[in-house]
Amino acid sequence: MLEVRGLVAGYHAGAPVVLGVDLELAPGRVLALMGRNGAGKSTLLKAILGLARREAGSIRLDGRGIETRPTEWIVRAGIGFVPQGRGVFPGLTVEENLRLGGLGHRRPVPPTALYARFPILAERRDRDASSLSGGEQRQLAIARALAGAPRLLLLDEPSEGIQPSLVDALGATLAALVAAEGIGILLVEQNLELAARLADECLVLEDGRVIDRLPGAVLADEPARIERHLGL
Amino acid sequence: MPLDPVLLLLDATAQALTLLLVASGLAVTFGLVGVINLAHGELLMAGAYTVLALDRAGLGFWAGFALAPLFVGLLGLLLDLLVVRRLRERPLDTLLATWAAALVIRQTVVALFGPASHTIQPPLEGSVLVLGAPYPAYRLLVMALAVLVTLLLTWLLLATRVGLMIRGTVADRTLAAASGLAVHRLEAAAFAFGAALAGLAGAATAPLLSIDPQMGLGYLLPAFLAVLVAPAGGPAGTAVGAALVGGGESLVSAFASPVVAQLAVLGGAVVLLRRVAGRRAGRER
Repeated sequence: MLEVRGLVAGYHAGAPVVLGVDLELAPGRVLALMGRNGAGKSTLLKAILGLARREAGSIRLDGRGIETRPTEWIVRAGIGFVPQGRGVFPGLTVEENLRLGGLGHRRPVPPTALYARFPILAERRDRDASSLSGGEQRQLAIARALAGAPRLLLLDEPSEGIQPSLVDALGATLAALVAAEGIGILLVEQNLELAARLADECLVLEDGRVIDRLPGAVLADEPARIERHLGL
Repeated sequence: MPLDPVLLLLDATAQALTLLLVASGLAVTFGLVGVINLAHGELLMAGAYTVLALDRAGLGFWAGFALAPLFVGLLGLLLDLLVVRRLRERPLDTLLATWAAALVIRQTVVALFGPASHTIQPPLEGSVLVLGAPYPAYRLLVMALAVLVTLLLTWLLLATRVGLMIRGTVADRTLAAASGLAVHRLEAAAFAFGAALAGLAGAATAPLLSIDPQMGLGYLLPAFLAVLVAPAGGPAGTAVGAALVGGGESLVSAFASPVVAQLAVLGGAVVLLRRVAGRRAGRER
């Protein structure tokens, strides 16, 4: 269980981007973070992981404070991360990416188990990760994060830059991860359909603050309610 | 007297491989950790003085040869913990700080051993016939050591867990941390390892050079050039860079003065650097 209380974070001292955010994420649940560009969504994910500067507030994982811990400690404690962009190690093969994803962890998931969930990666196992298509790279980025057997996954715009037909398959994969393995997902996503399909709850961020908190069903049933926040 | 082509080739190979030994440590600290370590020459010098000190203490050359990488590796670890780690995101400050560290190491050596130069006898005397030409046995041993170090580095990088971690950190430091790798510890270990290689190079070349507090300076520029003109990353790329810079300088100096040879190598390196930079920019596009 991840609990964030009053988190203030950014990149430079005295210039916070996230301004007092509260959230909770339990295993097996999906919490979507939505908002316009620059609202602080990605910074919030990075701050949880220690990749952005945390200035105030608390972050607890299973009751333990992690706000002063280094990134590798937080990741090893069970939080996987798929950053915005390609999220793979260029110059390393697909298999090396997957092995590397599990190296720092006590019980790494072997590449063979990850290939079962992402069959295309098995076919590309000896290819340089940077030579994969956008959709394949996103699958590899998620598989790399899963190699550490996380209980929670922070996903930053997983559908960005991939074909609409692949977004559907990505949604199915993520839904299966939540249903079958009980992984909790904190999802930053601009794609309303994907967010609606996965989210149990949605937080809307604007200028670093949570301005609305909606049940996930609202994304599917009343998309206009969220679209006005996103400027769509 | 006409030049013996075999000796010419052996001298060029020896200079290239000696430079490779020196540049290998630099390739680790600069190529893998991304630190422009201006104290690399002084770390090499510290390795040579370790051999000198233990030789004078009656422990013999090989004791110094074995201990120099450990001692200089620890010195490198200290340098990383006290200086480099704190300036990791500030390359220009790192440049100045490692230059200052070089001055401190050099003046400490002057204080301990004096400014005069020293020599030590090679542990292997005599010559070996190579393609009919006699060549100093110890020089051949240093050449073999350079090849061995390059092969070991290649194995370490390509076939071990640590090598995979280092390659991952080089490829994307933030993603490496976000994958659970302790990048600070990894970088400290790689920096110390690069320093240990400098110590090894200093120990190995100690009987071939005049040991004095300035000895590291002469190797710093050629070693940087060898790493920079390398057509690819990794030990194999450094080997090509060392062959071009060290071998090239040796061959040119057979026909011209050493100053002309150094200028020719510098000019060639600048041309190569432009091409390497152009190719890298092309790949990134």
